[in-house]
Amino acid sequence: MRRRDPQTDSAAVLLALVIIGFAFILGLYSMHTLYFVVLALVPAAFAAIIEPRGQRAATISIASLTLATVTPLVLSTMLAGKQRDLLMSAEAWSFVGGAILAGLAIFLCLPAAAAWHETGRAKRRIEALRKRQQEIEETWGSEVRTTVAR
Amino acid sequence: MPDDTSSAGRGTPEKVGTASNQEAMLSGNYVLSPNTPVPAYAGHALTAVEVTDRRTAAEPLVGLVCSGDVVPRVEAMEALRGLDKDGALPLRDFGAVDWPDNKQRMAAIYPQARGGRLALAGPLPAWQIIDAFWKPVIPALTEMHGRAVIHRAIRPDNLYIRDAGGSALALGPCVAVPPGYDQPDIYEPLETASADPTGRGEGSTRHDMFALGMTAVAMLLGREPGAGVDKDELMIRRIELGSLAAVIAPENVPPEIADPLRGLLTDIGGERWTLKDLALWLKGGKIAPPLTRPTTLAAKPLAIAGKQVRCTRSLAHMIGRAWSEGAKLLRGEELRRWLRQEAGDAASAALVEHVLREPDPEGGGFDNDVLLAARAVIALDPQGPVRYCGLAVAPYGLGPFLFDAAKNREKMEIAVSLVDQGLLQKLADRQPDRRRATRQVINFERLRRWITSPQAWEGLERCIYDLNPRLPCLSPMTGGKWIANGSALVAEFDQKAQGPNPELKIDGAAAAFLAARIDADGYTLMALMSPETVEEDVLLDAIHLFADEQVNLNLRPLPGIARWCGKLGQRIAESIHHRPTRKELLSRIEAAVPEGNISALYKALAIDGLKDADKRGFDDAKSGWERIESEIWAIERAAERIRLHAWRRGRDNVPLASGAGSILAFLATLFLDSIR
Repeated sequence: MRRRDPQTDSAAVLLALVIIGFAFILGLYSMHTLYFVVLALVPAAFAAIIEPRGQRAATISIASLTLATVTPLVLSTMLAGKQRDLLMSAEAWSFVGGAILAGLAIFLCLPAAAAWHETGRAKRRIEALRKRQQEIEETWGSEVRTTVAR
Repeated sequence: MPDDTSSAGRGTPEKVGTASNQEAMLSGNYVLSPNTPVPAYAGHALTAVEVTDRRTAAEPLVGLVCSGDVVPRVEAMEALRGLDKDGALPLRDFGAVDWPDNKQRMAAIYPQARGGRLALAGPLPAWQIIDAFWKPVIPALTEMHGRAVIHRAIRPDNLYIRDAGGSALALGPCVAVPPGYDQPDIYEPLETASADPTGRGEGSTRHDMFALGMTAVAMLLGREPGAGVDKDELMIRRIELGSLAAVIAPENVPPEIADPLRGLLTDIGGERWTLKDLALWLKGGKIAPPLTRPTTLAAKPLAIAGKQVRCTRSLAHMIGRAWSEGAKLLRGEELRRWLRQEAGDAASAALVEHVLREPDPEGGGFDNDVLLAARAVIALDPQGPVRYCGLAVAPYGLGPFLFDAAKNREKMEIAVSLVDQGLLQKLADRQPDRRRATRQVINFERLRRWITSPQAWEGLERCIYDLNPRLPCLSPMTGGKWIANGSALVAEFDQKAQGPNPELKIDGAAAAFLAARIDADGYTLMALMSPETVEEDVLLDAIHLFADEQVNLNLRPLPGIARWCGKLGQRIAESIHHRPTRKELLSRIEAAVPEGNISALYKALAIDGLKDADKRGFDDAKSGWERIESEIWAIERAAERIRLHAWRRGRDNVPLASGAGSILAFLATLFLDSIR
């Protein structure tokens, strides 16, 4: 088992304290809002459990988008004084669901798109080279072909 | 445009008449009638037929048609045409004619002597020999010698009386057979008398002088000198007693012509009277005849092959004739003892010892009987011909001799072995004319190399063509036509290539002919014989050869050859890798072939440095192609890795992308939530 980095540990403790702090403040304001936030972050937490340490791209993607969606909802509820129950708001959950799906889409599509792009580029290069070979063969005949490279 | 297809004679041979009445025509004027022979002019290897001149039908003419078994003297024909002296039958014309055997024969046209041929019915008085023979003949012979022609056929049965009722004799024809071919041995000087009739060589003016003297003796005797005496016996007598004394007793020689006869019939060539001497004597001048130096004869003869010999030279003659017995004698002590003690010729005994002690290095350190006898004869009689295994040939008579030998397998093998053993070089080395000998030795060495060569264009045929510069091509490809030079042969090939089977494959005989006549090199000839086996560069040489010959034919179109060369050209063009250049060459070939212009074809293909540049370009292209292939291979091989790398990079960029997405999500949520 890898030894944990003490700096990382302290950052995690600090983050946990911040989160607990925020949760406490949120709990003081409204337990339903706190539940809403916790439930919204469940998919991110689930991703964090599934993904190995150091490769938590899905966790980051889903968590960041979820938080980016949850934060304005909570803040608008807290600051504007609107009396609404986020936990029961279908609209709020639809925003959160969209954010989770968007995060998941970024996680799934970005590597595939990058791989597709590179494969296409290699194919285009091979096509250009084959065309050059064909030109050579047209000028010098098929005798220039060799099997050395194969 | 002049026609050069027939180099022999002036006219193109043409066939006239029908199959049942075949007549041949020469130069458009002379009509030869094969069915009307003239026996008085016929010989061993020639047919004599009546000839009519279309222009002056009144003059009786005779055509001497060569049989093809021996080599006619075409150079002599060229030199003697137009010679008109009373003392010789004038050669009117010559050339190849179509003969009823469907072959072309060389024919020489002479006027028939109205007085007929000399018939020796009895002895002639000396004055008649002088007036009727020597006086008219000498100016003619002088003219012939001036034209560098040696007659080599002076004998009684080749003398004619030109005018009916006249008495002046004229020399008969001498051009239809090799020099000395029809001469009985007695009319030949000792140097060539024992040589085969085809191998006597051109000889020198001294040969004619000897024949003049011996013919005079025949007239004195009223018969052939030495008639009835065994051939070898007569030769031994001539060597030991002298040619004159061997055939006529001194007391029977009329004193009024004794001096010229002694002068003409001396066996020492250098002392023999010349035409000038004889002409001076005829005008009353006093010329001292050569001193008679009797040959030292052994008191006790040596018996060999049933003959008794008394001197070294007659011994050499008999060793040459009976080489098997001669070799046994040479290996024994008796011969050397006889030479020293009886013949008093220690030098010859030493020569024999030298021959025995130092075997021919070419013979593998041991001389067989044939070689031993031949080497001993050369040592003992260096003036005589090479005598080998029963054959005898003078060094300068090798051409017609080899041509004749080629017709008989056994004789051919002996002749080839004779040349291969280097005997001719050995004999030439021992002859007095050093400059000529050196030239000849070089030539003999070349012949020796050729005669045993396995190359199709060398071998015996090459030697025959080289030694007989006017011999026609003997290849079956010529269909029996008299084709005497390279250009004419090329023109014949063109005719053949225009036929239904345009494939031209030259046989060994034609290749040897081209090698000898136009110095075609071996690779070129190989290209002509089997074009599929040679490199393209060599094919170009073959086209070059035909282009040169087309120039010799005054650029006459040769469509058949051009078509064939076009195929070779296509192969050359197709060997060029660079497609645009190849296309250009093929279009040039296509343009040149229908015009029959081989020179244009050659020029189209002979581009300096083309092959090298093409090779360099091709090599570069090949390596370029390889480089690209390697690059493609590398890309394909790395594709999975690149894809994986790109996927990982994409995954690593997810936080960044999700950061940007978060901002968008934040703003979107804020906006949507605010408008609710």
